[in-house]
Formats: sequence, C-alpha cells, structure tokens
Amino acid sequence: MFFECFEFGWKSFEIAERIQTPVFVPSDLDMGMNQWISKPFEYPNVPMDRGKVLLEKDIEDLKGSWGRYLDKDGDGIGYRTFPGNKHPLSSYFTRGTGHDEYAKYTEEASVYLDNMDRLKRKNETAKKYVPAPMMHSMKGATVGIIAYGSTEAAVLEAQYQLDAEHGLKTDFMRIRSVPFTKEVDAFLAKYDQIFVVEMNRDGQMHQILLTEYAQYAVNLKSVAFGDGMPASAKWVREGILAKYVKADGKQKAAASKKKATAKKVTKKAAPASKLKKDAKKPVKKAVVKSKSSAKSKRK
Amino acid sequence: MTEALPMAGTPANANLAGLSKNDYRGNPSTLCQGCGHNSISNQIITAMYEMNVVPENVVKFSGIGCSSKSPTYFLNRSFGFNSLHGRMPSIATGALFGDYHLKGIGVSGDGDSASIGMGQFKHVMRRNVNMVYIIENNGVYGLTKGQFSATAEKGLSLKKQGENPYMPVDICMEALVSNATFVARSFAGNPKQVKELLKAALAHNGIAVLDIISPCVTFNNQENAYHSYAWGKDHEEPLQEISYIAPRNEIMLEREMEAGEVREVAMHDGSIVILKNLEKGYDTSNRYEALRVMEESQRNNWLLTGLLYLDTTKPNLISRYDLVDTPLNRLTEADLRPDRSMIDKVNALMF
Repeated sequence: MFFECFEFGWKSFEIAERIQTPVFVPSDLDMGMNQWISKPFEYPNVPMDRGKVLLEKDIEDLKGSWGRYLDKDGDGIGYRTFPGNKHPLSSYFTRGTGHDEYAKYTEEASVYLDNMDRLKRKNETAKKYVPAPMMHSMKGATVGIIAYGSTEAAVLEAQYQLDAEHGLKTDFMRIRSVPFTKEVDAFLAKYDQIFVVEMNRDGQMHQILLTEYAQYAVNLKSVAFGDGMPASAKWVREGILAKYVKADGKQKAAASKKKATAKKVTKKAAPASKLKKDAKKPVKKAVVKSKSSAKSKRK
Repeated sequence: MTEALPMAGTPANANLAGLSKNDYRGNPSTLCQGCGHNSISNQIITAMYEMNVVPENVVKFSGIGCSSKSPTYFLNRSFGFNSLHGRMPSIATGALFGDYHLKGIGVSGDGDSASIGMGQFKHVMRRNVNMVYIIENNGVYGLTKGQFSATAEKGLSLKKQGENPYMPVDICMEALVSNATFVARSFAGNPKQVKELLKAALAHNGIAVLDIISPCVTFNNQENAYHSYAWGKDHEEPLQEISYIAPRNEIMLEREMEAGEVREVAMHDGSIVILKNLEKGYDTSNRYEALRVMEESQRNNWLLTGLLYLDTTKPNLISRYDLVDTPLNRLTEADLRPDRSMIDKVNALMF
C-alpha cells in the first residue's frame, strides 16, 4: 500500500499535467497514523511528462494560430502556455465563465455545447493515463469482487476462506482510479454476480458503478460496512455470503441467517477487541500476499 | 519594467517600454456604470503605462465577485486567472513561484478576502508574496444582489437587507497585524491618490495591500454609508500627499526641491515614494503608530487614506528560497528529478 501511495504521488503530477485537471489521491487514516511495513519505494520508471506545453518558439512556429481550448489532437486536451511566456500571443485569461476555444468570454450556446463535448472527450482520454486495476484472479471463478484501497488484504483473505470453506471461487479486482479503465468494463461484463466491497455506510463505489454501468445494475451487489476499524476478512466473507445467489437461484444456506449475522457483526464490532485482533492478524499475512501478487502484475 | 530608451519612430504617446496606453487596456467593463471598480481599473491601466511595465511580465489574479471580474478590464496582454472564491492568494503564490521574475497583481473584494478568503488573506500577508493585493471594498456582495459583507459598518441599513448587527472587519488592520509590509487605504473617488499608491505598490518588493473603498452604486451608495461616494468625499482624511518618483534623473530634481518638508522612502528598484505629511510627524515605518491612527479614525468616523505602513527591509517570499535563475516552470527533468541513488537513501531512512 505504501509503495503504491508513493508511486501515485509522483504519478498524480504526471496525470494532472497531461490531462490538465486536478488529481485526488485518497489515502487512508490507517496508513497516515500507524507504522506499517512496506515494499521499498521504486524510482520512477518513466520520464517526466509535462503534457502539452507551448513555449515562445512553438507559438512562433504556429504563427500565432493557437487557442487555449482548441482540440487540435481530438483528445479533448488543448495546448497551454505558462505565465512568463514572453510571446505577445501566449497569454490567456482563465475565467470562471463561458469561453470559446481562444479563452475569450462568450455566452454563445453552441460554443458552450462544443466545450462540454470536448471535456467529455478529455474524460475518455484520461482513462488511458490513470492507473489500471489490480487483478487477483482465481481459476474457475464464478463471481467477481470489486474493492479499492486498504480493504485489499481483508478481501484477499476472504477470497481464500470463501474458496476453502464454502467452495466459492472468486475473481477480485481492486479498482485504482476513476474514471474507470477498459479492464473495469471487461470485468463487469464477465460475471453476473459482482460484490462491491467497501468500508463505508452507503456503498459509495457501488453507487458510482451503478451510474457508470447501469446495464449491469442487477449484477452489482453492495457489501458495505464501516465500524471505524480496519476491514476484516470476516465481514467481507459474511457480507458476500449474505448476498450470494447460487446458480439454482436460491441464496446460499448461510444467507438465510443473513440479517441476524449482519446485525451481530454490527453490534459486536465496537466493543469486541476480539474482532480487532482477528482483523489485524490476517492483515499482515495479506500484505505479503498482495505484495507478491502486485509484483507479478507489474511484470 | 524596462529601462530601454524609446526607439526611433516610436509614436509620441509611447512609454519607455515602447507601448501605448492601448496596450494596457482590457475588455469593456460589464460592471454597473459609476462602479468604483471601473475607476480603479482605469488607474491600474494608467499606473502600469506610466511605470513602463511590460504586460507579459505581469500576472493578474482574482477570486469571485464584482471586484474579481475586473481583471478582464485591464491588461489584455497579461496572463490572468479568475480563481475560486477566496482562493486567489494560493493561486498567486503558486504562479509567482513558477516564475519569480513576474509581478503579480491581485484584485479581490471585501466578500472574497474578508469572509471566505480570510485564512488565505492572512497567510499571503505573513509570507510577503511579491504582489499587489487590491481589495475593492464596497461593504456588500454586489454580484448576489447586495447582502452585507464583513466590512459593512454596524448599523448600516439597506433596503431589503435590514440593519447590519455586526462589527466590521478592518482590512488594513488585519493586514497590518498579519505582518504585511505595505498597507494603504484609498478611495475610488480620489483617482490621483489611487494611482500614486498603485505605483508605489508596484515598486514594493513584497506584499502591497491596497484597501480601496469603492462604492457600489447599485446596492450601497446611500449618503450616510461608509462605502458611498458622498460619505467618502465628506469624510476622507488623507494622511499625506503621495507622489511616486520613477528612478530617472530628471525627476530626481523635483525630489530635491521638496526636500525638508517631505518624507522620502527609497524602493528596492531605485524609485522614490515621496510622502508629504498632512499630519505632522506621521511615520510610515511605525506599525504601532499605524494601528493608533486607524483606531483613531474609526472612533472619529474618518475615512483615513494614504500609505499607512511601509517596511522595505523584510525579504519577500521568493528571496527566502535559494532558487535558480531559470523560472521553476521552465525546469526540465534533468534539473528536477533527483538521482537514482536518492530513492535508496529515502528507503534507508525508513528503517
């Protein structure tokens, strides 16, 4: 997790300059406030990318035919200049109101529509630059799990338990960016049951996925839980089993106790130090696992 | 700024930068006719022209509000950034770090700086960012139909708003206690003083705050209101007559003629600000005295204008950093990316 956080640190600047948009990198309180063991940080493996920038000589070469929001390359990203560029045609005004391709003020409806379409193209382009998800596949998987961030270790352990104790083989994809990349498209098309595991009350990622992939809405099942403690394999496993529907259309046996189990977990969660311990131990193991799987993926 | 002499064939109205006043203009204003902000925009154009500033060496910044719309109305050839509400100081700090050879001019309002942007306002003061920070202060949120702002005086009664129950924020006091190095107050109805203060502010090497009372002709221009033309004209108490003298020999003579009755302050670029004291013995380098006169003017219901405080000795933000001559925004990977061995050092630090 830590080395990935470091990597996302420098990558976020690259992406921000390439896509010309702010990039948010959510971290985790658990990482910020506690000591963790991490894989060593890695030196950036690609050259720096400052994106589409025009200096004085570039503007001269273009004979001034330059517009801040002109989509010359069809990818929705215009060329920009830095303040301090001395070419008299280099400057532009970044305004909070409607503007044309040359950054000039306008209230023209068609110009506004064109600009909105350009931003849509830019969002598509962004998918090529943001980090792809991490896959933890299992041979013979029949259902999918989607999670993100620091729940990874708990999900990996639950994946193991579901296979060993319930005979349920799962394919796990850890999403690493929004907008979603083509790997996410493919994963959603692959399974008719996908559990979206996340540490919050409302199932926020589940909601985003529903918006982006309405065609798979019935396949996406929210497994959301947040009691202020790090994710544990127990709630991931029980949450999935509670919503899992067998091929014959019946919910799994464990699911009949679904409500009671879910309640128990909620009640126990706050005071039970047992649960805390239970959660912490496997996390260590799983980190090792995730490291190795992450490594293989990177290669 | 440039010291280049006019070239042969330059039009008679060209300044030392070889530019005419038109080169400093912006788009036509969309603010109300008679708005104090328009008068300030005009003085910015004149001050820049008279100071021979090259527009490409200036970056304009603003936040949100009527005031913040105004950078569109001057210096069309300069880069400009209309930022988020109250966030102009951090955008300006970043851009001026990106190329520290540039001069920043920020235009904000009382809503933008004294409410949502108060935190940013205070910190840009204490950091002494090299920029002119203008607050076009009208006491109301004109863009959203005239609600009271944080600088509106207590008891101000406005149609549709009722009576303001709160004490006002004094922009100059806030700037001063936050260690600003140039603090001035002016009145949009006194364009000459606005222009001279602007010139001195542009010559200042650090943060220069100009709180300019700028009446809102639509929502806050009642005769008895602090931020109105009528009240300002009747109650303005200039601290001094201020003249800015560019670093040019022939004008230095004028300075000598006035010697003895004036206070002269040398700016870092060799220019001189001449302060002809109206109140005997007012010392612009005395922070305590500045606070005292502000307090006094509040009690006596005066609109005290002029240069309240000036400190030319404090280093500006950039000079606290050992920056290379090349602007940071032009540095390449070879300049910026640490050697490969650095990552091992970082990893080693963690054990």
